[in-house]
This record gives sequence, C-alpha cells and structure tokens, in this order.
Amino acid sequence: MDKELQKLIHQLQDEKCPSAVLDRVAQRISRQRAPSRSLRSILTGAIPIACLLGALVLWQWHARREAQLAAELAAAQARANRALIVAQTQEAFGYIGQALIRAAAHTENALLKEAVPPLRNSFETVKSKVTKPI
Amino acid sequence: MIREREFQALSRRHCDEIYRYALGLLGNQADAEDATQEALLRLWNHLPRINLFNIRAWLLQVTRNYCLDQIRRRSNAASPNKADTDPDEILEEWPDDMAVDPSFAADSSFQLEKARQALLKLPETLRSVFVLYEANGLRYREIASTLGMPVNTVKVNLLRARQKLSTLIHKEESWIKNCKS
Repeated sequence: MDKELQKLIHQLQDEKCPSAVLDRVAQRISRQRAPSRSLRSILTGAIPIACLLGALVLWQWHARREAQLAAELAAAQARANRALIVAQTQEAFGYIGQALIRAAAHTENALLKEAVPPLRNSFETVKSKVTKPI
Repeated sequence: MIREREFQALSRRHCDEIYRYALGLLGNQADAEDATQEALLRLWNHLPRINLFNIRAWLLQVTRNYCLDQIRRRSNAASPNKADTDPDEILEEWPDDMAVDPSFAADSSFQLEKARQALLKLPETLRSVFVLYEANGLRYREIASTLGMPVNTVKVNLLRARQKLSTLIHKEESWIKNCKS
C-alpha cells in the first residue's frame, strides 16, 4: 500500500472525537428536555385541577337533574291531586243531585197522598153541603 | 436516570468511531463534529427503541445517512441543477482544489493532504467500506450489516477502493513531477 495512504489510515485511526462534541450533545439534550420537563410539571398540576373541575361539573349536573326530577314529580303529584279533587267534587254534586231528585219525588208523593185526599174530601163535603137543598 | 447512564456509556464508547467515519466521509473536522452530534442526538431520541445488540451498525448507518445528506446539500448548493444526483456520482466530481505549488509537494503534510483528497474523490460506497475497514477496524461481516450489502461485495469494494486510491495518488504524483520538470 502507498506510504501516503498508510499515513492517512494511521491519522484516521488516531482521530478522537473532541470532548466539546459530547458537551454540545449534552447541552442540546438538556435543551430538548427542558420544555418536556415544564410540560410534565404543567401536566402534573393540570391533571388534578381538571379532575376536580370534572367532578364539580358532574356533581352540578347531577344536582340539577335531581332538582328537575323532583319538580317533575311534584307537578305530577299536583296533577293527580287535582284530578282526585275534581272526581270527588263530581261525585259530591252527583250525590246532591240524586238527593234533590229523590226529595222532589218524595214531595210529590207526599202531596198527592197526604195533602190532596183531605183537600178533596173537604171539597166534597163543602160541595155536598152547598148543593143540599135547604 | 437509567437512560442517561446508558446514553453516556454508549456515546463514550462509540463517539470516536462515529467521528472517524464522518471525517472519512466528509473530509473536514467541523462537519465530522456536526455529524457526530447529530448521530448522538438521534441515539438519545431513539434509545428506548433501539436494539442494543446492533447499536454499532445502527450508529454508523445514522452517521452515513447524515453525511450523505450533507454531501447532497453541498452539491446542490454548488450546482443547483444537479439535484437528486447519486452521491457516488457527486463524489466522483468533487472539485480538485489541491495546492499545486511544486515547492510544497515534497512536504509530508502535503503528501497526506494528497491522500486525503484522493480518499474524498472515491465514490461514497468505496469510501465507506475503506474507512470502516481501515480506520474503524470493522470486520467484513460488520461492514456488510452496516452498509446493507453482501460480505463478498464488501471485499470487492475494499479492493477497488485501494486500487482507486493508489491510482489517484500516483496520478497526482506524476502531475506534480510534470509541473516540476
């Protein structure tokens, strides 16, 4: 092999990576890691807060839903009560109406049986007295 | 912490190899330092996913890819029309910017520079094989797995690289002699 080539090979074999290269690599790695570290710290702070907020929102949503259900239940109960009152009132009016019809029938019956015969009798008596020749 | 220790150990173990390979491919120290930095940063970023049994080949492949990108960029910057050219072709056409002063020709540093320039004129594949074998001391099989070629191709490429280097150096010598005469 040529002398120059051998020299070149020896020179290449003796070449060492300057320590500054490793230092620069270390610097670049630390620079690369800096944003990820801050991101990590942000995430460690943000995750519990997000969990708390989520729990709060969930709790509020649940409370609102409970209140809505209670209101709906109360409205349904009120509607049922009103319907019951209407039914009871109808029943009461029906009873009164029946009582009045019965009372009217009874009055008619009483008049025909108790008042009309004596009146007719007295009328007949008066009529016979008047028509009798003196 | 484990990752950092692992990285430190690996980078200390392999940085010289990476640097030598990059220096052989790019031909100057500043670029070789940049290539070493990039390779080590990629090692850091990919460390959790790398197969540590094959780390040497992986690092050298990463270095090679980075160096090829750099060579392409240089070539594109020098002549924008030559975009997407094969790196081997680019390297064959690298400028012959050696000092041509004959009084300087006898100097040993000049002789070394001549050899270095000859190395830079080799196609990339031949240069990779030569640098990995001669400077980094890799075996044929290791070079084959790093460059993704059969072992026999590695042997042939190494032979060709030596022949081509010898031819290039002798060509320069005869040219200098002509200049002197």
